[in-house]
Amino acid sequence: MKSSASCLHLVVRSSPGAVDRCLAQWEDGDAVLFLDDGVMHIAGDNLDLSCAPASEFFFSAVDLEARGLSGLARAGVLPDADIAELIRAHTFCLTWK
Amino acid sequence: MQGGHPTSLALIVQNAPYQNREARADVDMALAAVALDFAIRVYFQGSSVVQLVDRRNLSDALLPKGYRAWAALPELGDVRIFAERQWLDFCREQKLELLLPVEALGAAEFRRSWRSCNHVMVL
Repeated sequence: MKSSASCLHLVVRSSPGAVDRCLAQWEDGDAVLFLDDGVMHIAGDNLDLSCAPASEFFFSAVDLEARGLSGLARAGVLPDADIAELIRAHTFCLTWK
Repeated sequence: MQGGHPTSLALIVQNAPYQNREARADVDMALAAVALDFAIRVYFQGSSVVQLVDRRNLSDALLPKGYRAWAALPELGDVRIFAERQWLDFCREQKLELLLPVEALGAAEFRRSWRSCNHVMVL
């Protein structure tokens, strides 16, 4: 058994439930990457940031562009090449739908 | 295997009953994992613990009987089942009997507990 370890949470759906269940498992050291339809959360309606720092939220650049949302991006937008490094930096990787 | 101890696998169940297109998908994953000699830790998040409610009459509603298979898990290997304390309290208050023993975890315990396993999946 390992000790407590960090997790990269992948949110791949636009539903509020996906992001709520993800943030319920948030711990310090974790990060959230919004992919696929999950990038729709960049509009912010469903994001309760009270339990997690916004600096640990990341969005797929390709998926934002595919949905015409690149203009909403402020920070935390990652090209595919950087996503691999983000995955490597965490012990666990969970997908929330 | 690592050092003679079985590799542990945490399964976080997030779906309420019949939320999946395939009703048995979650329990089938757990059964497959225990058959492969993983030490299984199943974490029912939120209302998903209702998957374990006993004494349902599924046949009248033409629903599959798959969920009762959760009860077979402890007999098959190293298995522990967890759920959030508030949802277990809800089941107790509503007199909803569960198919197998479930350990209660507070919200903070819940999100830390699965990290002690070697692997984790969200179902």
